[in-house]
Amino acid sequence: MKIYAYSSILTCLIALPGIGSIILAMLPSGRIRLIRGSALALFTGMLVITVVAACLLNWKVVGSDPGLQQLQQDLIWIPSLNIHYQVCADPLSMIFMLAICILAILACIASYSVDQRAKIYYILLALLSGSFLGAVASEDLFVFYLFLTLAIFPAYGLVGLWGGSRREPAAMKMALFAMVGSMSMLTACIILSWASCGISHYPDGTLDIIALTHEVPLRQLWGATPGLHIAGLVFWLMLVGIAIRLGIPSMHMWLPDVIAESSAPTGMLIIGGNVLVSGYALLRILCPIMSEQSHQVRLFLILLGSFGSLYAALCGLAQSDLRRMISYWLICMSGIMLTGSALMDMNGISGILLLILACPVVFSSFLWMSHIIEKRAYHHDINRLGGLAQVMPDLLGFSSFGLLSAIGLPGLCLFAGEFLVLSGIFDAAISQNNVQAHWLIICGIVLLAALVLTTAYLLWAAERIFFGHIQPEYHHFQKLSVMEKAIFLPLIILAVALGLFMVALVLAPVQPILLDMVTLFGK
Amino acid sequence: MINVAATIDWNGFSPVYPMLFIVGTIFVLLTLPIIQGKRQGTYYNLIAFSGLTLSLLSVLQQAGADQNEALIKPDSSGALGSGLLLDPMNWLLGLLIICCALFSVMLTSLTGQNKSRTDLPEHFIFILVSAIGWRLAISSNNFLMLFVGINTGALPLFLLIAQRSNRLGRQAVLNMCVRGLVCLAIIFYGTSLYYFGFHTTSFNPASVSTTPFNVRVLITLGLLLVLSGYLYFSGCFPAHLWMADIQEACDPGVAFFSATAPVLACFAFILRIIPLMEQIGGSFTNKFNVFAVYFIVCGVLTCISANIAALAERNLLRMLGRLTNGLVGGLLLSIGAVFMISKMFTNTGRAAIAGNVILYVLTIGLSFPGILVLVQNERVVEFSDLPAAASRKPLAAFCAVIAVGSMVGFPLTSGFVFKLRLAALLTSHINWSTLFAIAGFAVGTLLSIIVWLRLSAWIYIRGMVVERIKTGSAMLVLAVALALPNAALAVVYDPLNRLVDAFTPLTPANQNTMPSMPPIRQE
Repeated sequence: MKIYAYSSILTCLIALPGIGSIILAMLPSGRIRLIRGSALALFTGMLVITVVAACLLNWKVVGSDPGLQQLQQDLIWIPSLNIHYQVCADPLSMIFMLAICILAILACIASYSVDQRAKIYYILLALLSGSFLGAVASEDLFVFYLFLTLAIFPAYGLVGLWGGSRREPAAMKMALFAMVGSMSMLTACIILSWASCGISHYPDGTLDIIALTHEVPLRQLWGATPGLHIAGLVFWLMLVGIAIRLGIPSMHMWLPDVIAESSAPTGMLIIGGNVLVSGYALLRILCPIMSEQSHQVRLFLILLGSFGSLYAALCGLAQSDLRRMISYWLICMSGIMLTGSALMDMNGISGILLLILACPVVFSSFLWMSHIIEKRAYHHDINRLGGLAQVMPDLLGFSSFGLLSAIGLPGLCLFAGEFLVLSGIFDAAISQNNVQAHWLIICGIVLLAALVLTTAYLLWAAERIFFGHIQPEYHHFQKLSVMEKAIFLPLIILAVALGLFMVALVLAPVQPILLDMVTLFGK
Repeated sequence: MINVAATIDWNGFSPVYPMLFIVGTIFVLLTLPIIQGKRQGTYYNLIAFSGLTLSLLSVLQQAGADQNEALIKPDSSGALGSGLLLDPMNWLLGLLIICCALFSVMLTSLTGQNKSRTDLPEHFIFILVSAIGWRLAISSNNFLMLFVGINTGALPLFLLIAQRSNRLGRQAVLNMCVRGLVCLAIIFYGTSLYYFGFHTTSFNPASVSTTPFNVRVLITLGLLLVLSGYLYFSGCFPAHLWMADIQEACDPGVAFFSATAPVLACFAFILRIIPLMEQIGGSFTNKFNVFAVYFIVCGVLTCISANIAALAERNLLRMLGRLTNGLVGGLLLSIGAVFMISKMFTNTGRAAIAGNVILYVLTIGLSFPGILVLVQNERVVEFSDLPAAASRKPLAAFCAVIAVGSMVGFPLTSGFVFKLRLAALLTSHINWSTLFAIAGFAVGTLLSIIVWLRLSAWIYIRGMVVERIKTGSAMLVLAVALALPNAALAVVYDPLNRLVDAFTPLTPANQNTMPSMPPIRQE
C-alpha cells in the first residue's frame, strides 16, 4: 500500500525556499532588518513544515519495504529516461531533513552581522538549504543528482561573495570539485537507467532508489560487457561523486580552502549540509544499491579510510591556522565514515550514522569559535593567540563542549560513533580468519592512532589559544555577546543530546532500516 | 569533359529555391530605389522579413505534399545523380535555417548602435541569399549540388563579415576566407576521389559491396576529406579557429547566423550519408567503423580544444565563439555514439542526432541575446568591463550568466537538455570508445564550467556595487524574455522531447521516443 496522504508536503518544503527567495528579492534592498526578519521567518517556516511532516510520518513503518514509502509524491518527468520527480520520507531521511533545517536556521541567525548585499545573501542561503532538503527527500537518483548539483551555484556565490581575501580561488575550487562529483554521479545515473531496462516490471529502466535497493532482479542485473564491468564502473563513479562532497581523504583538496575562506555561517551550512547529504548518500545509495561491489573492494575502502584519517590527523597536527586545522579534523572524520560504511555491519552503519549527524554540530561549534576569535583578533593564526581564557572565559566555556566532543569524550556526540566504528573494525577482524583479518587489525590500529593524534593536536591548539601568556593587544577583547552565546547554545544542547540520548533520538527510530541494510549486505 | 547540365536529373530538382532567390533579389532591387533616399533600416528589415517569410511559406507549403512520392525522387542512373532531394528530415532542418535567418535579422534590427552597418541594403540580401544557399546544400543529393550550396551559403557570409570595415572585420574575413577556400578545395578533392570510386557524385551509389578494396579505401578517404572540409564551416577541430574571430568582428545577427546555419547544413549532410558511411566505413573490419572513430576523435578534440581556448579568452564574444565550438563538438560525439551502436543505424538514431541538432540551435538562440545585451547595449568587450556593467545593469548581467550557464549545460537550462540527451546517447552502450567519448565530453564540459564560473566571478564577486540605471532596451527585453525559458527548459523536458519527435518525422510510429536506445546487452 502506498501512503499518498499529504503527498505534497515534501514538495512544499522543497519549494518553500524558492518561493521565499522570490519574495525576498522583491523586498527593498535598503531595509536590512526587514530582509533579515523575512529570512528568519522563511527558515522557521521550513523547520515548522519539517516538524509537521515528521509528525505526519508513521515512525514505526519500515521504510525499507518498497510499498511503504511515506509522504510520497511521484510525477513522471522524463519518460524516455524513466526519470520521475519522486520524493518521499522515512524515519532516516526525516532525521536528516530536521538536521538540515536546524543547521539552516542556525546559519541564518548567525548571519545577523551581514549587512552588505543582505538580500542576495539570504536568497542564496535559502536556495542552498532548499537544494540540500531536496536531495535528502528525493527517491529518484536523478532528482538526487539534480538537487546536489543545484546546490553548487548558491554555495559558490556564498563563498565567493562573503568569504575571506582568497575567496575567489576557494569558491572556484569548490565548484569545480563539486561539478566533477556531479558529472560522475550523472554518468552513473544514466548507465544505471540503461542497465535496468527491461528488468522486472521496468521496461524503460528505473532510477528509483528503493527499487534499485530492494528488488532482487534489479540487484542482479549487473552483466559484464567484454572488457568492462558495468557494475564496477557505476560503483566507482558514484563513490567519486559522494567522496568529493564528503571530503574523503584523497578527494578533500577543496575543503581546507573553503573552510579557511568562507564566513562562519555560510561555512556551517555549506560544509555541514554537504556532510549530511553526502553521508546520507553513502548510507542510502552507495552501500545498499552497490553492496556487492562495496563488498568486493571493502578492504581497499577500509585502508583508504583509515590511512586517510591518519594522513589528515598528521596534516592537522602541522597546521597553525585554526580554520585549516578544523578542516583536517573534518577530513579525518570523513575517513572514519568511509571506514564505517565499508564495514557493512550493524556497528559500522550505526557508527557512521551517528558521526554524520554529530560532525556538523561539532564543526559548527568550531567554526563559530574561530569566527568569534577572528572578529576580535582579525586573524586565526593559533601561534599568535594565547591566554584568551583570561579575557574571554565564556568563550572557553561554550567552545569546550565542541572541543571535548571532538576528542571523543564519552557522553558527548562523537564518542558513540567513533567507538562503534572502532569496535566494528576489530569485531570484523576477529570474526575472520584470513589475510583480511590482519589488515583489518592494522587498519584499526591506524584509525586509533589517527584519533589519538587528533585528540593531541586539538588539545594542543586549545592550550595555545586559551592558556599561557596573553598578548597585550588582546586585553581589550570583549566577552561574548548574547547573539554569540545564542548560537553556541543549541549546538551545545545538540552535542549533549546526541551523546546521551543517541539511542532514543537516532538509533531506535531507524533501527529497522539499519537492520534491513545489514540484511542486504549479507545477501 | 562532363556536361553537367545534361547529366543532372532535372526531374529531381526542386525549382523553388532558385526561383525564390531570383524573386527575392528582384523584389529587393525593385524596392531599393524607392527607399534609397531615406536610408532607414526599417525598410530593409521589412524587405528581408518579406523575403524570408516567403521562403518560410514555400517550405511550409512543401510539407503538405506527399513526401514519399512527390518530393523524394528516385536516384538517377546518370553519372552525376539527381540534383536535389527533399525528405522530411532535411525539410525540417531547412525550415530551421529559415527561422535562424529570421532570428538573425531580428537580432540585427534590435542592435541600436549598428545603424551604419544595418543601413546597408546588402546586409539583409546577403542573409537571404546565404539562407537559400544553405537550404540548397541541405537538399542536395549529390556532391556537386552540395558544393554549389556551400558556395552559395558561404560567400554571402564572407561578404557580410567583410562589410565591417575595421581591422577586426578585415582580419576575420581574411582568416575565414583563406581557410574556407582551402576547405572548399578539400571538399572538391574529396568529391573527385568519390567520383573516381563510384563513377557518380550521387549520395546513393548503385553498389558499394562490389567495389574493390583499394577503391573503397579511396572512397573512404574522399568522404573523410569532404567531411573534414564541410565540418570546417561548422567550426570543428582543427579548422575551428575562425568562429571566435567572426563572433568578435561581425554583427550579432551575422554571428548568430554563422553559428547555426552552416552547422545545420553540415549535420543534415551527415545525416543524409549515414547509410553510406555505415556501409563503407564498416567494410574494413568488424570491430569498428572508420567514420565512428573519426567522429569521436574529432568530437573529443573539438570539445576539449574549444573549451580550453574559451578558458584563455578575455573577450566575451570570442569566449562565446569558443563555447559554440564546444557544443558542435558535442554534436559530433552524438554522431559517433550512434555509429558505435549498431542498432542505432535506424531512423531512431538519425532522429536522435536531429533532435540534438535542433536543441543546439535552440540553446544558441536562447543564449545569444543574453550575452549580446551586455556587449551591444553596455559596450562590454573584455571581462574586465563586466564588474562596472553588472553594477549598472544587474538584470542584463544576470541574463548573461544564465545564457553562458545554458551553453555550458548547467542543470535545468536548455543546454542541459542538450547535454543530457548526449550523455544518454553515449552511455547507452558502454565500451572503450564510448568511454573515451564520455571522458572527452566530461573534460570539455568541466572546462566550460570553469569559463562560466569565471564569468560569474567577474560579474558578481569583483563587481556588484549596486548603483543601477533604470533604462530599458528592446534587446534587454528579448534577453530577459529568453532567459526565463532558457534557465528552466529541462522542467518541460518531456513535452520538449515530444515536440522534437513531432518535428522529426523520420521516426517510425513504433520507435517514437527520442533516445530510446537498446538496453545494455547481457553476456
